[in-house]
Amino acid sequence: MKVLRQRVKEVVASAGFSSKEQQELVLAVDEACSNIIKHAYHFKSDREIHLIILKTDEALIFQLRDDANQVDTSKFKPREWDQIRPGGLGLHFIQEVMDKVAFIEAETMGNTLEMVKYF
Amino acid sequence: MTYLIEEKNDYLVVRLEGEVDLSCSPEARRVILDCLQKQRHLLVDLSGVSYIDSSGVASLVEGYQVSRSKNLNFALVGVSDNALNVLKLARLDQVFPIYTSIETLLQDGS
Repeated sequence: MKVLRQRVKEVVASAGFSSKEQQELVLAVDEACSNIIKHAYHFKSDREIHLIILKTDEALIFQLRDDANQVDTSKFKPREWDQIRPGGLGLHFIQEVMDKVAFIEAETMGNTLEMVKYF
Repeated sequence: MTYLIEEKNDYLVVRLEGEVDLSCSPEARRVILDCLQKQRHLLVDLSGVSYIDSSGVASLVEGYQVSRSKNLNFALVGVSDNALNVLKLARLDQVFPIYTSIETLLQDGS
């Protein structure tokens, strides 16, 4: 995860995001990976996560793909803000930082999460 | 992540260092809860934390809740800019007692 965070930081820095935005984008991608590790791979360390970062004229697009069984994305709900409890924060961070977050329907195995951050 | 536990007046001080992420947060959680099990007031020093994710924040939230259930004091001290940004993103900067340093807290008479 440390290597992934470093790589994401390099990309978002080169794209011109501010220091604070860089930190937040690294956090959001890291949280998305953590969700895959926890909920899709159940902490199995021999599985792969593919991260693709696309740069367009207007945005960076982060695509995270796993090869786990397709998950029921309707179950992913961020925590209510007024609930002070451990857990449930990761999805909030992702939604707070990114401008668009969506799962791309796969026809076969796996799940792809797409996150968009406009410049 | 590394950690160091010290005593300061009535408090145990847990100083976390480095990156508190999914791989390290179970250890951070264990250390925090172990201190509270000893019925000691607790300060968590985050001045050396360069990165913290939601699992690390969850360890702090759990420590805060356990301390309240045991009528023990719990506060964060010397929170690094990176850690503070994440706490703000979680809107927890208004929930945790946060002090710039241990000395500030002790002067406060808290």
